[in-house]
This record gives sequence, C-alpha cells and structure tokens, in this order.
Amino acid sequence: MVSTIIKLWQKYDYVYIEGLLGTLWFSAITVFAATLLGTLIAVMKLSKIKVLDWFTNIYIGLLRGTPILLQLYFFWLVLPKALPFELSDTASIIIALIVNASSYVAEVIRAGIQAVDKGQIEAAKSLGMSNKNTFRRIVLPQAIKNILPALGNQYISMIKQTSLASVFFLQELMTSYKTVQSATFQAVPSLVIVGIIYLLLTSVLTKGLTLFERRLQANE
Amino acid sequence: MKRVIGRKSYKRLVFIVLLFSLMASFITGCSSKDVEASQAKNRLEAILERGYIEVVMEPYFAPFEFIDPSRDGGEQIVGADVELAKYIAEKLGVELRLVPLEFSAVLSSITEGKYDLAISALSYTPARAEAMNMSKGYYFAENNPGYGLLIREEDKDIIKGPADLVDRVIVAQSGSLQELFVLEQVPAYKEFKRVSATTDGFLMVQEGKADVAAVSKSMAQLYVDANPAAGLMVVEEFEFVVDKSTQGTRIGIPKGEDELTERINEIIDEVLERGIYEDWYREYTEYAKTLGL
Repeated sequence: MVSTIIKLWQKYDYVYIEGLLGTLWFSAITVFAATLLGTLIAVMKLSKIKVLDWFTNIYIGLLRGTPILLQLYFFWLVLPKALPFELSDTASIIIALIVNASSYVAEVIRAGIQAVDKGQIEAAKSLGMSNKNTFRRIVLPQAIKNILPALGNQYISMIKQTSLASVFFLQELMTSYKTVQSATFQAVPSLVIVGIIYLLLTSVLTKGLTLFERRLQANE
Repeated sequence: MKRVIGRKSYKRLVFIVLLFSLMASFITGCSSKDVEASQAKNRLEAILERGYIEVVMEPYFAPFEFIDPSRDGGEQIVGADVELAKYIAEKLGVELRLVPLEFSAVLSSITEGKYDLAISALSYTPARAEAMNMSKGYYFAENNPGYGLLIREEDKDIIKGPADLVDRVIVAQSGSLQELFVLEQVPAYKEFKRVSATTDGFLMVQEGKADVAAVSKSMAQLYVDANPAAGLMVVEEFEFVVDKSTQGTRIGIPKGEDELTERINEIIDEVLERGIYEDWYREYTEYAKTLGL
C-alpha cells in the first residue's frame, strides 16, 4: 500500500499539485466574495426595514435549508439559462459556492453583532454617543471578537466544500483523485494522497486561526 | 442593534436594492427574448451557426472514455467515444468541445438540453428513451464481452451466475444499463446498492462492502488486470441477456431534436459501414492498459 502510494505520487504528482492549486484558488475566491456578500446580507437582516428582513430570511432559509450539492446542480442548470450572457460551468459553480457560503457568513456576523451585550449600547447612549459612534467604537470592536473565530471555522469548511465541484469536473483536489483513479484503477492510495493534502491544508489554517484567536484574547 | 445604524444610510441601501432588482428584471427580460430567438431554429442549425458542438461524457469508463493525466488539459480525455465525437464534429464541420462530468450530471445535462450530445457509452434503456432522443447503436458487443458480474476470487466456485446471489449484496452504477439488468435478470438478492461511478462499485466488492458488481466485462477486466492484488475476477461463463431491439451503445441527444438525431444517425451509419469504431475500441483498450502503475 505505502509503496503504491509512493509510486502513484512519483508518477502523477503534477495532477495532485494542479488540483491543490485549483482548490486554493476556488477557496480564495469563495472566501473573499462570500465574506463581502455575507456582510451585506447581515447588514440587511439587522435593518429596520421589513422588506429587507423578509428577503434575508428567505435567502438564508433557502440556502441553509437545502443541501449544497442540490444548489450546485440548480445553479449549474438554471443560471446559464437565466442570464443573457454566456456563463461557463466553472463560473456557475463558483457563484453557487459563494452564494451558499454567504448565507452562513451572514448568520455568523449577525449572531456576533447581536451577541454584544445590550447594556454596552445603553451605556454608550447614556454617555451621549451618536448611533454611528456607538456602532463603530463600542459594538463593532466587541462583535469582531465574536465573529472572527467562527468565521475562521466557516472558511475551513468552505475549503472542504469546494470538493463537491468535482461532480462537475472543476480542476480541484477531488477531481485529481478521480483523474488518477480512473487512469490507474488505484482508488484507495489516491484517496490517501488527497486526504493527506487536505489535512495539511486545513491543519495549517487551523494552527493560524488558533494563533490569531490567542492574539485577540491578549488584550482582554 | 436595529437602532444603531442611521436612517440615512438605509434610504441609500433601499435605493441600491431597488436598482439591483430593476437590473435583474431587465436582465431576465433580455434573456427570455434571447431564448425565443434561438428556439426559432433547431439545435442542428444552432450548432452549425455557432461553429462548435458540446459533447458530454463521464471520463471514468475505459476504453470508451478515460483520462490520460500525462497529457495537457484539453487533450486529457481519450478513448473510442472521443474518436467518435471527433469524427462527428469533423463531419458537421464544427469544432469539438468535450465536457467531462459525473454520470448523473451527463444524463441530466442532456435531458435539460444544456449540451448537444452525450457520447458516454450510453446503452438503451426505456427510461432514457423517454427523457431524451437516442441515436442508432454505434457499438455492438457481439464479438466483445458484454455485461456480467465482478466477484472476489474466493467466491469463484460459489457464484456462477445471477441464481447464486440470494444472500448477496449487489452493486451497480446508478442510472446505468447494468442497474436495469440487476432489476430484471437477477431473481433474488439480499440488497442492491447503487453508486455514481462504476469504479466505486469495483472498490466496494474489493473491500467487502458488496459481493458482486454488475459491470461491463471488458472494463472490469481492465481493473482486474491493473490490480492483481485486489483479488477480484470476472465471472467467465456468465453474461446478461441483451434485448436485440435495444442492443448497442448509443448517443444521447436532447428530446425533440429530430433533425440533429437524423444527422447523427447518418454519421453513425458511415462509421458502422467502415467498421472504424471497432478499430478505435481495440486501440484504446491497449492504450488503457499502458496507464496503470
């Protein structure tokens, strides 16, 4: 088994490395865009305006209430038809990943802001701070401490979720597994290799997050 | 928190959202017009006009279609079906664009009309014929092994055919002809499991998660040869009965595209007359053998 894994790596290392680059690339886009979109959704959800509240409730409810694979299929089939310009499969899948992740990001941000104690706001108000200042100087700094660790976990699961894109043959790690597996008929060794790469990737990120959280706690 | 953000910024936000929805309605308005315009012609004309044909396949099915990772991106997918796709594109005088997908996605992309053709070793099944147009058969397994059973070597003397599967677990690719064979030709079994890729079924037998896989015999033999340590074998003497009228590997075409189907059938007639598919099949069977470790 070990010798097969080594042989497999020697012969097809470039396939796995290409896959790793793909996974990193899709994850980076998803994380970046989902954070922006998720923040916007969270702001809309916290608003006083009823319509926005309904909209975000439906948005988050739909996206969190259906499996991501279903959403990928749906976007893949429907989005290119609904749009007037040509949209590649890759783009449809990335959009689906972003939209899905944005709903989770929105909930993390909303929960983080609402978790800030009401007394803090009342105290700021009684000191005569404006709404803007209260939010910027009192609520936001505390909310960020709630939000960031949860957001980090969200990012890690986003990385793993990009593997679902292999159903549509996007260049990423799970596709590398299938590619090598179909050429060599060696499934388990190929899975082990991809598994190790994922583990390395996520443990580096987890380590980074832990260090970051410790820094956040340092000024408490 | 609702009190914290100022009123003014919300007016702005509402404005943005309204603008956005206006844009969205504009976009959908446009696109429905586009669809009407393209529906005026049939798909064959549309292909000729746009100058390329999009063919979907599941590239995990040697020797019909499989991946050679040592080649460059666009050239990675090889196999007898790829040659057929090239031949069709050449005859139509258009560029060939291959789209690799998982098997269930291959089928749904054709039933939804997302792509032009599915050339993915598709066999005829009534359900498929209902959901899409199917071409004439372009490959007949008469002189080649058809569909049979893959088992572990230890069951060599116990499992000789479908009658020996009463207390066994069977696995087959979901939505495939093999699945239909199991349902129609295996009198009794303990459990029937379905997987999305045939190779996953091989693995299940290998790891003891299933006892038998219903398989294409030639593909299973490639797997057995590549993994001598896996302890698997194809049941030599047994083959599933294939209905003569529904025999042959076919091309999937979106439902109702009769002009395209007719043109594809003409090209298949040519291929059959020249007997070139058999050559491709032999060539890529040898090719697939060179890829293993």
